[in-house]
Amino acid sequence: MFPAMSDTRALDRAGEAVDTRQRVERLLYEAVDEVNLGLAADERLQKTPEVVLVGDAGRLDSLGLINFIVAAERRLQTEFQADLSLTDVITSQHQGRHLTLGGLCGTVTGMLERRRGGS
Amino acid sequence: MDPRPLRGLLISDFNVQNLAGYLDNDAGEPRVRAHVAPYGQVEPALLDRGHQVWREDHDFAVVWTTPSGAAPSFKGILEHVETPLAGVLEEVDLFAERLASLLDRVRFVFVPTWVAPSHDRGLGLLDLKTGPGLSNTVMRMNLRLIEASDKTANLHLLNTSRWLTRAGRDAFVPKLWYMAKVAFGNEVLREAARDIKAGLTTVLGGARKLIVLDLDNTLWGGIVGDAGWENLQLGGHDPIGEGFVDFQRALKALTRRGILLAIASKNEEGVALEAIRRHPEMVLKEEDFAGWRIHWGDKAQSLESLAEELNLGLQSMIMIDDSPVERARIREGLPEVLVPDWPAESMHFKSALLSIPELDTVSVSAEDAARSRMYAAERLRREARSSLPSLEEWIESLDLRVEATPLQPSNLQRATQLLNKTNQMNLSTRRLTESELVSWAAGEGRSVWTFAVRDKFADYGLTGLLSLEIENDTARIVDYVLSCRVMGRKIEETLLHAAIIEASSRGAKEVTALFLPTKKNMPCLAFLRASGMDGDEAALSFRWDTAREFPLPKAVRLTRHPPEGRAR
Repeated sequence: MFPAMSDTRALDRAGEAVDTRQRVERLLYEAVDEVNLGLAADERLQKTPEVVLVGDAGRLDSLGLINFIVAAERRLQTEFQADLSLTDVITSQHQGRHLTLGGLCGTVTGMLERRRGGS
Repeated sequence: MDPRPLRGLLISDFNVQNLAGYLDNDAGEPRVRAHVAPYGQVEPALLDRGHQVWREDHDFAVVWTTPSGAAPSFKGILEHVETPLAGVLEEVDLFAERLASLLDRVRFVFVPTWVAPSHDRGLGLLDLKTGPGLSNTVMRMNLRLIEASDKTANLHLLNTSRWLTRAGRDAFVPKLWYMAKVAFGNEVLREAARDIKAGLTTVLGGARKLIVLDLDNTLWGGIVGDAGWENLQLGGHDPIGEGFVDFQRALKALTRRGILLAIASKNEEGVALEAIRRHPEMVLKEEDFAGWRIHWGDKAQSLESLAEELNLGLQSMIMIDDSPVERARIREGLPEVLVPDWPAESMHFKSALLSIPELDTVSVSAEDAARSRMYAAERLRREARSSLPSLEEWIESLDLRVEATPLQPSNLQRATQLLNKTNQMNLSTRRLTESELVSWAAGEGRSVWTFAVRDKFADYGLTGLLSLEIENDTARIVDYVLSCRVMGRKIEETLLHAAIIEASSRGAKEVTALFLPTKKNMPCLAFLRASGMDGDEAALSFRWDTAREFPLPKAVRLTRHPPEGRAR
């Protein structure tokens, strides 16, 4: 009838990870809103996981990308009290691969989960 | 306002691309299209008229530099190298001269003041010492620049420190600097964009002139009809009451720089006026209000009716009301009226009022300071009018005196203000800066006259402007401008009389006027049609043969003064 104690903990961790991912996604979308304030209508980013931040299909120029990094880091710092640097995460993608908003969301969620697991 | 976006050139020694984006995306009027001069090219852009940035015309420029970008020896202060203050200030003077020189390429120049980074403590107690102090030197540089801007029309300084305060800990973002050479956090740049837009609204004559106020829970706490004036929350040892008194004081202060007040309230008029007259802590008195509509009818209609009575357009109005329902009604019914969101507690009213950028002004003239009194006098005049049998007799009873004076240094500021602020009785709605007006008036065959009006109730000051351009036998009226404060009292005819006399004395055989329609200047067309001038309705042009007399209205005494010297 009831799951074993170890299964319960696993479920809790999975639930927390989903919750963290949703919060990260919300913060990244808020950062997109902030970046869009300074962009022309045809340059604005959509708020979807598929939107490409870095790569051939990326819509942001280098200043736009830096604005996004600063806006996202500030929100993550306030929400999670976590001093995360997205600079390396994002700029390392310049070496060939492309990075989507959804991909960044997963990476950041993983970073936060690892921090929590390590603490 | 002009539907064409204003073109602005941003010149800086740091990256201001984000500022350009915020200016472009701000949907408020006036619309702006910002162009960024190449990064770090401050001096070439200021000095070199052949620089690539000047290949296109710009309406305004924003020159935003770090202190070292304007005064290179300021670097010595930063690096704690002994640096004579006099040398730094000389460099500020030179920078100010270069800023002034821009005004023959753009109409307005905006310059954000310099700031010391808030994270730099300037070595603590040393920071404010004269000589080596970092903040001390920045303050002195700013004061020096302020003195220079005071002497230069259309060079306007903007207060960067306020933007930093509003941005708080995000005012400086090292990552933005190191990765993109953006010197300030983006919240600072958004505040800058708002102030630049507000500055443009002000210099283009788009500032609001009239605040229409609700009474219950807006000017005082409580419902006067229920509680009685004795029991209103107003003043006393009570934070809510103090909030209302401070709000009233702030409103009263605004009347001293030309903002008019009116009331639109759902109340019994007698009950509400009794509260205004008798409550001992009322700061605003009956005479502070240019008009009121106190009844149980629709407030939107009250506002329209006040606009008509005061001869002001709805786009001149701000409405302050504690009721979200009334605010929504006005926003929907009268979108031209500015209806700010309003805080729930009176303790926030004063700060909400003083943060409305549409109340900004660039200067305060004697006419501005006296405007409230004039409107109060106008109310008395209307009351007097009700006891007279006809409009003509009423006008004749006013003892109207008009003084015509050529454009000259003493009236240049007010004349320019009138030209740029007047919408309704305005033939061509031409907008010019002081220097542009002087420059235009100096042209061959041109003359500009100003008209000051007074009657037995009040002195309205300089309220009319007329400019003529004579070519061959024809005198063309270029500007025909009359403040709404004196409309409908035969001053319109007086200006036309003066135009025809001036044209005739200078040999012109006819006077022409071409009406350029806007959304707001239909009253001017109505006057021209009724004036007796020969009109070509299709072309909206009017003419008068100077051989025919255009009589001065009987009710008006006109005096023409000789010039005291050219305005410059």
